[in-house]
Amino acid sequence: MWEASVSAAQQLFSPGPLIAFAIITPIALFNGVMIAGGVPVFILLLSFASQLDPFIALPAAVFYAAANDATEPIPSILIGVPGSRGSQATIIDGYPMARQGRAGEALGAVYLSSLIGGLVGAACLMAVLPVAREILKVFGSAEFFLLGLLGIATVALLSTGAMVKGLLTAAFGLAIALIGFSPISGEVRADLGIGYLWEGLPLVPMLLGLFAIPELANLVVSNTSIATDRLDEVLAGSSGDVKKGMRAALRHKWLIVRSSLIGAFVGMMPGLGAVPAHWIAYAQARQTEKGASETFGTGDIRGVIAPEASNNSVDGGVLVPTLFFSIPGSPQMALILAMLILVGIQPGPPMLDQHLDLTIALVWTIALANIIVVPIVLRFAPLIARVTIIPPNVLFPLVMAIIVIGVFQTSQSLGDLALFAIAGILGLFMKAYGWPRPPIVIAIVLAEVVEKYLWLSVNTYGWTMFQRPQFIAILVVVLIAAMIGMRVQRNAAKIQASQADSGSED
Amino acid sequence: MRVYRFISIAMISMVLLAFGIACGGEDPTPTPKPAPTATPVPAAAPTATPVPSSSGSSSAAPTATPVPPTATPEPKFDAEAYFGNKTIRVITGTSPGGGYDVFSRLVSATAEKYFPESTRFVVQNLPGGGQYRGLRALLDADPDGLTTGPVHSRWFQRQAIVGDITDFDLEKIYILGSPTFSPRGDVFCVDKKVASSWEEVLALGRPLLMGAAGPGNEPAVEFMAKNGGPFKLVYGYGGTSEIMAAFDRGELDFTNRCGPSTAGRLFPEWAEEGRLVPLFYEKKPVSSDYLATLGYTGKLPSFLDLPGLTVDPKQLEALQANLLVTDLSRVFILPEGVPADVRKYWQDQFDKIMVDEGFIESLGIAGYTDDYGYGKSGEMLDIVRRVRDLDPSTRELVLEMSGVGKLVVN
Repeated sequence: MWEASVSAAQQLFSPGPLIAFAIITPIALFNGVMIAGGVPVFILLLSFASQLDPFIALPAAVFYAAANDATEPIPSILIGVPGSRGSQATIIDGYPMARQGRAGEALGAVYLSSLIGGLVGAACLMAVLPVAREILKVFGSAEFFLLGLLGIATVALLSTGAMVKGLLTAAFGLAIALIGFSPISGEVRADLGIGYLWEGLPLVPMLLGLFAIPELANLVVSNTSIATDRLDEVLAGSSGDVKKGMRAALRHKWLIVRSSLIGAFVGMMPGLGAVPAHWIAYAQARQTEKGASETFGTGDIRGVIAPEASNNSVDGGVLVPTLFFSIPGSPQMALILAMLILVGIQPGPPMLDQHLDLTIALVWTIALANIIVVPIVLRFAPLIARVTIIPPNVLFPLVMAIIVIGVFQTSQSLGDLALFAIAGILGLFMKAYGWPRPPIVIAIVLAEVVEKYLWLSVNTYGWTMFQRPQFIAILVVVLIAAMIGMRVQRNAAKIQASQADSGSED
Repeated sequence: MRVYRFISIAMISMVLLAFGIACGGEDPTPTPKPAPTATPVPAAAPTATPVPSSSGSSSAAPTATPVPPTATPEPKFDAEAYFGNKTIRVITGTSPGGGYDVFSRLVSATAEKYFPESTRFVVQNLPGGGQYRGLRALLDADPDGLTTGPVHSRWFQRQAIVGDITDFDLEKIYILGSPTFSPRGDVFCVDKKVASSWEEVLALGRPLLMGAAGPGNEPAVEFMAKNGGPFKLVYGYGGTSEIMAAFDRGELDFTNRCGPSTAGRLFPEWAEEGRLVPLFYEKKPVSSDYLATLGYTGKLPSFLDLPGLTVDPKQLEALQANLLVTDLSRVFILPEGVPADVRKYWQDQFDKIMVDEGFIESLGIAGYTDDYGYGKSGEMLDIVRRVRDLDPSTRELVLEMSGVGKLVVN
């Protein structure tokens, strides 16, 4: 391990990879802000991969993925449009903070927690390297099903106050996720005779339509900027708000560590990826933090810290099934797997043996990406926050153009644009009538995972899946977390009630 | 406000520029229409003019024997002139990173060695419709030899069996070949923790669980399961890696991913621990050297020779046809109408690509060594014709076994 680490350091900190990182950093920063803009650069890297040294191509790709993930919260916070699959939960509290003129504070908190989360994820990966394959062998289809179900079950939790609506929209999301090829039989379901629907409803147009169009429309109709409060402070662009956010993040360091560990663990489960990780992290924060059930959703800074810490630590976790089992842990990892093959590196046991130095280099790359990108974003955060005071007649066309390009460039299909428009109309109605939108997205992303692993579990384990120690262990951990959460909430409620009583007596 | 105006104008300009680059990007050199390369007609040999005799007699002088026309050699195809500074699109119907995408990129990277130096290969991803979108783009491309791509096996098989996909005449498009036709060898193994021989499998009293991506992917085992064999196929696994991981953790009992390029690559400890017990092969047995590493001595039987199976002759005929049809995977084609000399050049280079050492090594890294076997156009068309010659009821059975009968075709 020591020799491999030294070799990794020598190769990684040589001119080739460092020049690659220098070139990629501004591209990753720009693409992270350009909504859904990450894939084309990956494709470009794939095209060059076979001509590059593996120690340049692969770290460059992993660096890009980690740096891109680090900048994706920006559109989620500033304009309420998810920058990627992994930044949806950030909108719930991040966007309200931007509306309150606290975008700088949100960015400061997000980026410090992202940095710590990324470092925790890299550290987790380093720690489990010697036993990574053994760890993954413990978990099977039954456990993957349970984790996917947990991801959807967070819907009920997040929709407190509109729980029935949340469950109904999740059910709707599950229903429309059935459209397209069945992952089991290969039959095409509910395609209405339209070839475009054979692959199912693509996520990017749905996501952007549901979130972007209602929020942008709201700005134009109300003719206000995103921020409706503290406009002078935002315009002044001092770093005070950013530092305030960073201090808040440091105050909640244990929340960051817990969320990061959740991200790293869930990221390691093949096929689950970032989406359930950051929702589960958000849900556990809401369950366990004092007073969270009342304040989450209104601009509570803990509501951005938890999902973003998890979102960045996932980068370390998803490398495990990708490198050691050739099972991509996320769509980005599918591209990295392709790149491994194109540069002539065999995934699997050789990654822990003859290519251990490359594996270690990739772990360090994740850490390096966060260390480089986060200070840059923090430096410009006050300027970035000024987006929230741009007049809507200027902001709307710019953002719409970026979003439309983001929607189209994924598959170059006009069907995506049509779906984007339809999802946008649906999102408008849902926002107008108070129906929560996140449950649809969670359900669409996790439906295939849940359906597939439920089918596999029933057909391989049958009822004995409920007797598996791993299955029971996950269930017990979740129940304990839920019970702790309920006790915390009850104690917080009691304290609030007694403070209210003592205030009224005075 | 001026600052915002400037920023907004700058951003709109960048966005439009990016859009223009994305939508444009066509080769500035106009693609010449393929010139017909008719073989020039040889000039007629001059007939000898009769020479008048000196005696003035009118008897005709003997006619000179006409010289037979010499065969004019066909002009050599100038690849540099035709393909030089051009971009060849390799259309693939999957997203980047998918299996067919990797194949396309491996072929593109290798092809650059054999085409003119200034020719560029670009992989264009057109996912959608189960790769049907990619197929349509391929079939509708200009017949100039600047577009190629792999066709997903399901569409090739559907067309071979039923032939109902519009504008996809397998006799008229040009089939370059496939790198995974007629695999080298296969072996099906049971987990030693479950059974150590076929007799123990039969005595188990329950079916062996085998993972597969979907119906039609494991024709031999599906056939045996329907004919009394002790197997249960569990569909829904994402691919080879997932199936192997499931076998490794004991979720599945039985697998055909125990060959040298699958188990040997991802789970070498299976052979080291003696965990794999070979039972039979489907098309061709894997090498005896490899079997020896699994602790197997003796001749590996074909699945059809296993005791305990009842085989209906009609089903057997359909199965044998289906086994042939499953070889029609990852077939690279050129659209209909590409000129003959361009096709010939493409075929010559494709032959070199398929046997290129670097390409084969890359296939091994991607896990396809066991599947590798270069199949040429003639072999594939032969299968297509054999399937079409089957009687309708047998062809129906083949359709059902292949799993492509459920496809909805535009």
